[in-house]
Order: sequence, then structure tokens, then C-alpha cells
Amino acid sequence: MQGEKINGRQAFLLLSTTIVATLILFIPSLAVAQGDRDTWLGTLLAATVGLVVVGVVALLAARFPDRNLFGVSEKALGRIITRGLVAPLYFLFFFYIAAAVLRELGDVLTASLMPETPLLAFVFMTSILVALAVLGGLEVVARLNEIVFLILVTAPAFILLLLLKEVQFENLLPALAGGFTPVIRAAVPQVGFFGEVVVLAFIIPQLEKPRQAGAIGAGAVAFSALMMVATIVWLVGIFGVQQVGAFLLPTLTLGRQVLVAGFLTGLDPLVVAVWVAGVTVKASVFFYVALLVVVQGFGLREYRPLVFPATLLLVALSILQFASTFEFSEFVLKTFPFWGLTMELVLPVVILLVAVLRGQRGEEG
Amino acid sequence: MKKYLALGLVALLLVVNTAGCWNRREIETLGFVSLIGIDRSQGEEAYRVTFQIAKPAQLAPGGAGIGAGGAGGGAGEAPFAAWTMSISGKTVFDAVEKTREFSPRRVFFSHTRAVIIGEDLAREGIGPVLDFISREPELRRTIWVLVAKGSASEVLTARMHLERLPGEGISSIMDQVQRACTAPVVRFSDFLQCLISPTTQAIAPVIDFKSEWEREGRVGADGGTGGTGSPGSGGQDSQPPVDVRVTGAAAFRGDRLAGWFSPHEARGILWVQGKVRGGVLTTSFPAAGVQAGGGQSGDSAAGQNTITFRIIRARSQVKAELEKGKPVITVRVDEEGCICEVTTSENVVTFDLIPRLEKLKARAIENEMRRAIDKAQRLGVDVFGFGEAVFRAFPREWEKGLKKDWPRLFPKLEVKLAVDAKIRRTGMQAVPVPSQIMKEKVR
Repeated sequence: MQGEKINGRQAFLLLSTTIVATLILFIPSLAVAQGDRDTWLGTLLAATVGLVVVGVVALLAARFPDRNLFGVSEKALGRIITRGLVAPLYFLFFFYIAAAVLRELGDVLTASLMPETPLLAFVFMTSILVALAVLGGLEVVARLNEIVFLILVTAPAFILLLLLKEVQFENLLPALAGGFTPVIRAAVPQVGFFGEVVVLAFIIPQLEKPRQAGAIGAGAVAFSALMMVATIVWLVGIFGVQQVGAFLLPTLTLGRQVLVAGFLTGLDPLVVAVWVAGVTVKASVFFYVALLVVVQGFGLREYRPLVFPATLLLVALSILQFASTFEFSEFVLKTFPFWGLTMELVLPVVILLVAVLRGQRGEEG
Repeated sequence: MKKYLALGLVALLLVVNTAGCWNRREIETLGFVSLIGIDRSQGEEAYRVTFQIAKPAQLAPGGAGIGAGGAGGGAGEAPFAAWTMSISGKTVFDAVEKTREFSPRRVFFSHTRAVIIGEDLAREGIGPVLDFISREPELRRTIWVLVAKGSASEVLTARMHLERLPGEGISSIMDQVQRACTAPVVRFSDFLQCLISPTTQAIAPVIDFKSEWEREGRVGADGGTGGTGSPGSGGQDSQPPVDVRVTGAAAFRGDRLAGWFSPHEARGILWVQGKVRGGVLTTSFPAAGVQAGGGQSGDSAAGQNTITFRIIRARSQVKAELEKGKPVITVRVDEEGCICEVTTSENVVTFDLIPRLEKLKARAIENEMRRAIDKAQRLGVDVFGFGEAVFRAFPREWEKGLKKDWPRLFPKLEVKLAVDAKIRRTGMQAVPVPSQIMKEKVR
């Protein structure tokens, strides 16, 4: 491929940022509206599904350490199906998510901080940053993320720690009062996010040790689940399920709730900073993988000439794809779980099964 | 390391960059709203919103000289560094936008400390005005919620001692009240959480003018005076009527004001909720039969034969049980404190008598709780969260019928109280001074 290599730690951090960046901002309140007190159990369920995806990726990596999912598909399903069907499907998926992520960022900034600023301003500026990062390549994104990740962990940890005193854990009781249905309902909006770990299947050849893929993915899913569970527990413990379910930007509200010793207050910019940084990395990863699929699908050598034209499409798509924030939450609740799982779990499983049935292996495997 | 620092700096700069210029707000173009008051008004413009906007020039340390001469209040009073304006609007936000017609600076809510709701509005329902507070990004959910006895706009025009900006003053008073525990101290998020809870009803502290409260308070206390809280002569204060004070609680049924709780009743609620963090309890000590020779008359003048306890910390535990299908609540309170004032003519602070004093204190606490519970049951407002406790313990039975019956069950609910009060210290004095005078003075 491009000859770029990232090590195991970088891959783990990259995937963690990719999942967490958007998961903890919007999704907690959407999930709490579905799952009430048992939402955090829903998170664990969704993370379990994420682990299944990781399992599939690990099996792929063990069999074909030199190929990514596209490469495996080409071998297992043949060139025509792969280039005609699988590649466009994955391109659309990754490209659409990258655009949606940028859109989310713009929506949050306009909703919470600068209501009069046009959405385009945020989306355009962030996408330039994303384009530059992707132009640098996967290694650059991975290194950038090593800094971003630091903020991504410390800032929320700081906020959660300062709010620990306010959390009334009994707000989470009684557990499972409504049986398992709320758990499943709460898992639905989250499951697609944990499944995003599937991007790992597209960068297996770029890993220093492809065999670590399983551990990397599992670590990222576990870390994301931890962050998400903590966020949900804190939110419900502080505000109660009824209030959280009605929030638009729950994590931002959490940041605003900090009030320590009368002066340490207003930590929401910290949340926004985490978020801008995290989203940039996430959009870069998805954009990169989308371009990778295009390059492989058309048998090109370089993705870099495509970056700027594709960025324009990305900006246009992210402005056009939703008319309002309602459409966005409808998408997250009703479309993304199913579309996501199809692309993240069903399709990779099919590809893997066919490869196994045909007894195919990679060069080194 | 240096490289990482530099990179981190660059990342931060990029974050700053994304802010752009559209919503640029310079500090001198903003009017910082320190308090918001919302009242009901007549006619089509249903809400009268009062904004108290800080005057930064007078808040500056140098500005004290300007205000000192012109301040109408007494000598040494801090100048009033706020501009208060009332505007009517069809909705709260309508009124907010109308401020543009009057205010050269855009009203800005990020530093708002409290929202005060007028009594009339509270009686008619506060639901419609709360949406603005939760929706407006500039307002935080950590602001205090208070209910005014009378109109909120009057409270907002009242002057405050020691503080130039009443918003800061009220915020500091809330800190003080949190230690005295004579009023619940609620943030908007907590208030809203109770308002939208299926069974728990919301309470908020009451803010009013001191003198007015004394009259009202007397009337309220007639109902159920226990042996506990008559702290001697407190009514003869002759403070000017502009002193605002925070005391007692307003209880809501749904979003409507259902009734007032006196300071002692308010603390009764706080005991049950486990939120008592301080305050004092004054009990009259039954002099008769304390010691072998204690045959004096118990009817001493007010202020005599009392023991005042200081509450240091308390915990509570609310347990729900089902007895023959009926919920029964047990509230356990563990309190710890010390003695801070004794006016008895005998030395009652002895090792042998401490258990008795602890019981006395426990009874006083129980009494406050009982009064609060009785009142809440009379009003039919579950301000304690007993319903939630039953739900937590018996989720199945709750959904099957208890939830629906709760409004009928609560007024007749059996609530058992168990109080354990401890006396840990006695201040700097071992033997009560009055008893020393009685004993030592040669007559």
C-alpha cells in the first residue's frame, strides 16, 4: 500500500478517539430517552456487539495480515462484486459518516456557542484541517491523535472528578425494573458507534503487527465503553433520567454543571475543545478510509490527488445531508444502527465466511 | 517534551481559530444580568421579567468613593451597583428581546446567579417560564431558584447590606443558608429534576423582606408548635423593611405553588433528605427532676434553661417496606454535633447526663421532621421523594398500582422515624456559666 506503518499503541488511540469523539456528546441523552436507568447496561450490550466486530476483524487479520477488508473481499468475492458493489457501499458509508461528523460539530457549535454563525463556517474550516491531516497520511493522523487523545482523556476525567460529589448513584436504581427491553432499546443508538471499530479492518496492512488487531480493537471498544458508561452514570446521577432524556447536548451540560469553590466553573469550553479535536481526528480517519476504498476500487496508486476535490464534496454533503438537528437524531436513532451494523458486522462476516469456505489465506498466513 | 508542548500549543490555537468572528461579543457591549425575576402580569403580555444588570464601573474598587456620597442608604452601606428594569412580554424571551429597546448593552446571562419567581406566577404555574431557562445556552443549570413572597420585582429592587451587587449577595446568602439549613438550597437542575419526576414534588427557598416574614411566620407557627423551636424573643427586630432574607421553603404541586414551609419545617424536609449540614437546635431543658435536688420551677423566663445544640453533620436513610401491600417508610437519621450554648441554672453538661441530652436533641430533630411530614401530607406533596424510595425498593408493585395510587397513598402514608443524635464536644466551656453564678455567688 502506501508503505505507512503505525504501531499498536497509535492504532489503539486512533480507534478510541474515533469511537469516543462523537459517542459521548449527543448519544447519552438519546440513549437515556430510550433506556432510562438501564442505559449504561445498554452501553455494555452495544460494546459487546462492538467486540464481536473486533472478533471478525481479528480473524481477518489472522488469515490475511497483508490485506485489508477490500483486499480480502477481492479475493473471496471476486473483482467484479468487490469493485462494483462492496467498494461503493463502503465508500458511501465512510464518506457519509465523515460528513455527518463534521456536520455534528458545526451543529453543536452553532447551537451552543455561536447561534448566528453560519454552519458552513465551521464545517469548512474543520474540513480544511481534515484535508491537511489526510494529505499527511495515516501516520500523521495517528501522531496528531496522540496529542488529541491526551486532552480527550484528561478533560472529561477532570470534569467527572469535579462532579463526583454531586452524583446520586441511587438515581440508577432500580436496575432492570422494566426487564431487558430498555437495555436493548438503549443499546440501539449506541451499537453503530461501537461497530465503527470496523475501520481497523481497512488498515490492517498498515499495522506494524497485524496480529495485534484483536487486542487493539478490543482495547478501543473497552475504553470507549468505560468513557460512555461513566458519562451516562454521571449524567443520570446528577440530573435524573427525566431531565437527561430531554437534553440536546448532555456532555456540554455536564461541563456547565461544574461549580467548585465558587470560582472553578464553566468548563464547557473544555468539552468543546475535546470535541473539536476529537471530531477532526475521527473525520480524518473516516475520510482517509473512504479515499482508500476509492483508490483500491479504481486500482489507483495514490489517494493524495483526490483529497481536495473530495473535501469539497465532503463539505457539500455535510451541509446538505440534514435539514435540521431533528433529522440528525432521527438518523442516529432509526437509520444508523441498521445501516451501521450491515456495514460493520454483516458484510465483513459474509466476506470472512466466503474466504473461510473457499479455504483462502493470505501470503504470510 | 518541548516538541509536544509546542504541538499542544498549536492544537489549542487551532481550537481558538475555529471560533471565527461572527458572534464576536466585546465585554463592554454586554450587560451582565446578575438576577432574573419573573412575575405574572395582567393582559396579553403575561410575564413581567425583571433584570438586574451589574454596573461594572461601580463594582470596581475605585468606584466606592463615587457611590459613598450619593448612596441613599445609611452610612457604611455599600452603593447599589446594579440597574434594575422590569419589562413585560408575551413570553420570557419576548421580554428579553424587548430589553434592546431600553438597554444600551445586550443583556447577557452567563453570569446570572439566581432566578426569582414571584408568588402570583408560582401559584398559577411556573412550567411555561422554565423552558427558556433550560433552553438558553447562556444560562447554566447551576443557578439558584428562589420563590418570592410577594412580587419578584420588589425583591430585586431591594438593597443589600455589605454587597454592592444583590446577585452576588443572594448567592452568598445561599451559601450561608446552606449552613443554617433553614431553607432548602436548590439549583435549577435539582429543581427541574423534582418538577418532572413522576411523584416527587419540588421545593424552593423563599425570599422575602424580613419584617413581612415575621408576621407570616407567626401565623404559620400557630398550627403545630412543638416543644422545640421557640428561640426566645426574635420578633422585636426593628430593621428597615428593605432587608431581603432567605428562609423557609415553598412547596409545589406539579408546577404550582402548594404551600409554604416555615424554617423549622423546611429543615424537617432537609433532615429526611439527608441534606442538613449545620444549623442550631434550641431545646428548653426540663429542669424538674434532673438531679436529686432539682425541684425548681420549670417556668423560667424565655431564654433561660435552654440548651442550644450546633449541628455538625447528619446522614439519613430512607427505607421503604410493604406491610400488607401498603408502603411504609422508615427514615433513619444519624446526627452529630456539639453544645454551643447553655443557659440552665444547674450544671446539666455532665458525663452522666449526656445520653439524656442526646435523647433530647434526637426528639427535637424528630419533632422537626414530624412537623414537615405532617404538613407535606396535609398538602399532599411528596417533597421527600418517598415515592421514589418505594419505586426503588418495589419496582414491580410500583408499576402495578402503587404509582397510580400514590397521590392518595401519600397523605395517609405511615412514616416511622428513628433518630440517633450524638454530642461530641461542648465548646470552650465545661460548666454552664449561669449554673456557676447560681452556685458560687454568695447571696
